[in-house]
Amino acid sequence: MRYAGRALRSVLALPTLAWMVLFFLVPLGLIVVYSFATISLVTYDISYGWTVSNYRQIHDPLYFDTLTRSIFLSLTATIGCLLLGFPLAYFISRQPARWQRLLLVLVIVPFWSSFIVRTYAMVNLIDNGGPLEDVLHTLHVWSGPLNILYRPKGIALGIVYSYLPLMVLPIYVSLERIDYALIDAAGDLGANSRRTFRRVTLPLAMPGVAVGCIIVGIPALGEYVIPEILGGGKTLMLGNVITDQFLSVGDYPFGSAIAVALMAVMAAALVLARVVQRRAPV
Amino acid sequence: MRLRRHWFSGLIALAVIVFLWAPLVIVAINSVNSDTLLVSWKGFTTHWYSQAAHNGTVQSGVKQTMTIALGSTAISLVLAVTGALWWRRASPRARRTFDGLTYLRIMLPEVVFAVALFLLFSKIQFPLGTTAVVIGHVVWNSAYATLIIQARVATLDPALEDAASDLGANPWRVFRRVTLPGLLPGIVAAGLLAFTFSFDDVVTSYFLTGAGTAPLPVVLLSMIRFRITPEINAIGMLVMLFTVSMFAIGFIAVTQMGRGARKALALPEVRQ
Amino acid sequence: MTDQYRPSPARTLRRRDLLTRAAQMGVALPAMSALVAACGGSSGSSSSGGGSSAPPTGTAVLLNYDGWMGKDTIAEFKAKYPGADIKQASLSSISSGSIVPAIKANLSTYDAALGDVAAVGQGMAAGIIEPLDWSKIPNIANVDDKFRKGYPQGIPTDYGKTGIGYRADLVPEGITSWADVWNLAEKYSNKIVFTDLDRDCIGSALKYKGFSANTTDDGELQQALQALLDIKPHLQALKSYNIGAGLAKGSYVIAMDWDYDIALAQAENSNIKWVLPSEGATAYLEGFFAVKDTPQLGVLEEFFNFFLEPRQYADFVNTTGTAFVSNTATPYIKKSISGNPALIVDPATLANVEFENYLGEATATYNKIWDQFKSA
Repeated sequence: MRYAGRALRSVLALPTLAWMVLFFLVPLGLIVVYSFATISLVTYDISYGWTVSNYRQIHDPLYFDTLTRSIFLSLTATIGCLLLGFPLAYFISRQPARWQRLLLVLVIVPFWSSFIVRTYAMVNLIDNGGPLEDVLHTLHVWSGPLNILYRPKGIALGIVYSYLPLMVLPIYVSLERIDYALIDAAGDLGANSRRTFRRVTLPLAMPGVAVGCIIVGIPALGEYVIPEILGGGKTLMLGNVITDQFLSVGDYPFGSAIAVALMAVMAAALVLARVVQRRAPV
Repeated sequence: MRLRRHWFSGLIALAVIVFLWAPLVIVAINSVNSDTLLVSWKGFTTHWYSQAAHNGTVQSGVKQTMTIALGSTAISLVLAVTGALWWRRASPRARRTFDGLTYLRIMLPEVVFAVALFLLFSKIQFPLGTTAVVIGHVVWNSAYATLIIQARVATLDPALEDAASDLGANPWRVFRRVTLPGLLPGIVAAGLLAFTFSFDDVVTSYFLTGAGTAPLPVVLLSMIRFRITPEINAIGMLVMLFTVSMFAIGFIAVTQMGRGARKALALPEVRQ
Repeated sequence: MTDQYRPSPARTLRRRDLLTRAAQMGVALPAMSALVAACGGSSGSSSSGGGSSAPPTGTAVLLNYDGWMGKDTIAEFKAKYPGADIKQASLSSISSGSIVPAIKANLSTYDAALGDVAAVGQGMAAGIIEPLDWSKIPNIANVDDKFRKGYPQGIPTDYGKTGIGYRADLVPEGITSWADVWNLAEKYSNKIVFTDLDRDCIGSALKYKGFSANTTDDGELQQALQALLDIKPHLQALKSYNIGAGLAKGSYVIAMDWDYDIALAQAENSNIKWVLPSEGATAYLEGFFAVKDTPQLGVLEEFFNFFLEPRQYADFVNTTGTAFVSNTATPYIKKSISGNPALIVDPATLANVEFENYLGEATATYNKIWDQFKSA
């Protein structure tokens, strides 16, 4: 846009900047302030100060175990999304344009029914004695009770189900942009399809994969509705703890502290990812 | 459909799509089951559909959800397009800050946003309700939209825009006639995603609705907490049919319009 | 702490009773004629004591569960008092701890709310409850004394007991106590469901161990926690809704559940039995209260009074199927509710029911125990 002056270009950044300062950074700052405050659980009066009592409370093994459990579950769900989502994105990207659109629509349309209704249907689906169990028994892939529902496995499945488009779309966008001339060239140079995939396609899809993993894995840490419905209320995850503190207990300062701690963990993970990226051979 | 060459990924693709639709099949079956407690199949009935269609709370819930989703999508797209276009020519340092802001919004658990805004609004006495919910949705929705449109912007050939401006077009005209059509697939994709997220949102909507009309997911949550009947399933099906037809109409309109506009402008076919 | 339940037969409000009560409340004479006129069923609602005679108008926002209202109550209220309206805001989370901080953070949003005794206690401590002018709510006399005394800051609407529901055909041993549930846990592992509510679970565990459900003693609470941790591996899930439906379906065979939910499920599957455990059960008493400094106090008092009219209250009970607090409404209540042994109990049995109270500072301890149970 060299035709547009610098002033004009800066103006373009304004809408996003203004919105985010007002409605994102300022509220987050408020949360940080709250995390150093205390509340009386009797009068619900908040006294602002600079105590670290809330942060000390987090060190309780009760909450620490919940953090590790959440990380493990989220990791499992992300890998699941990847294993299912990549082939799907790959398949779609290799179809003629018209079929691509149809398949994408087919993938997104289920998400236009209500998430809540769908999640409850999942309860029916994966219940012992439910359709999934029947199918797996018929295919002789599984025998005996399924025992997925109301267990961490069920939560992971639910997260995979809900976050699949978030994994598929970025990978599809990366794959779709691949110039097939490159693929053909590799073939002309003697590589079989597997080698081509590994050396050409996969690296080019990596940006999409990275984006997909991040926008699935990290928000999954804060999931609240899915563990509640598919977890049977038995498995406490970080999202439940935070929501509980705000919705049920009313301890805003403590909930804020947990949120801040979670943000710190995420920031650390991102920094780590950035370091790994820079060190890895291009 | 190129099946033979990609039979492995095709097989998985099929399995995944079946997996995505399976719960809907269950919802569909349950929506016509006359057994109130859904213990077993007790016969076909359309009773739940008529009940759902006449349910006033549901009607206002759908209307409210639509309003919120359309509003937040529109604003998110504006933020995303302006942000992505700025990012193209921004300095690396500015880019890093912008990206950090985008990723931060995607990563944060929604409950943190929702509560933060709830606390802010009550501090400044800003009324909860539709506007508050839209504001909340835009914060995280615009982040996803930005990512998608940024990816699309990266594929634009700046030579086209430079050529247009060299030929005498002012920046707005360049944007409208060259940049925008090129961005259109990205805008459509981002818009669809943003709409879907907004439509289904529970946490932000719950916190920021206040005493106003509850959007549909919150209505459903209350209905389920009170008593699950097949009516809920009928609502799910109706909602899907309604949204699908809306998007079908919109999609056809956009593609037709796109084709017509390109013909009129005699512009080269931008790679879709 | 259990009160003696005094059964009160259906009473017609006699003029003399009214005057005595009014005198007790210290209301001036002009107001009394207004009260008598109101109780006589006339539609005029004049405010007491020298105020304007125009009925209050405006829209009051009531924070309430979806569907927890008579089918036609609000519509008929609007018809009877034009200009007054009640809008219901949805109370999605059913933990009593949630509404007080939410209301406090946003006082101007809500005018009234549904809360149980514990919530009201928290509300009083947090200073968010507006006292009601009882002279404007003469129908409060329709509510049985015990419940009136238990809920002085607002109008009681209903109560519910947390007991046990089980499938008699699938659990041949039969169940009569919490001890039975704990003893049968291993045999029926993964076929047992508890409610997802802290007071219910902790309270029931306390009852099982022979303690009060309102205790603040640390030692007793730790024992209750241990009992809960012992049974958790055998629990299929912690549910906060539709528990009875699962019993009817056979997804599980033993459930901790509320009386009205079991009563509803019994209609679907007659094999479901309701048990008020021998060690005792916890119960909640809930009602509507007004939020501090609400500008719609007049409308609220008008609505509360209307709500407690026998016909209107019966509509509420018939719609929700809950155990009710007013016997004057009994003639209009469905027999399936008023005759249901799960919902209506005799005084002797009700003596074994302990109503959940506000715990004050001990609330934090209960929260900690609940978190420990949930994350185990």
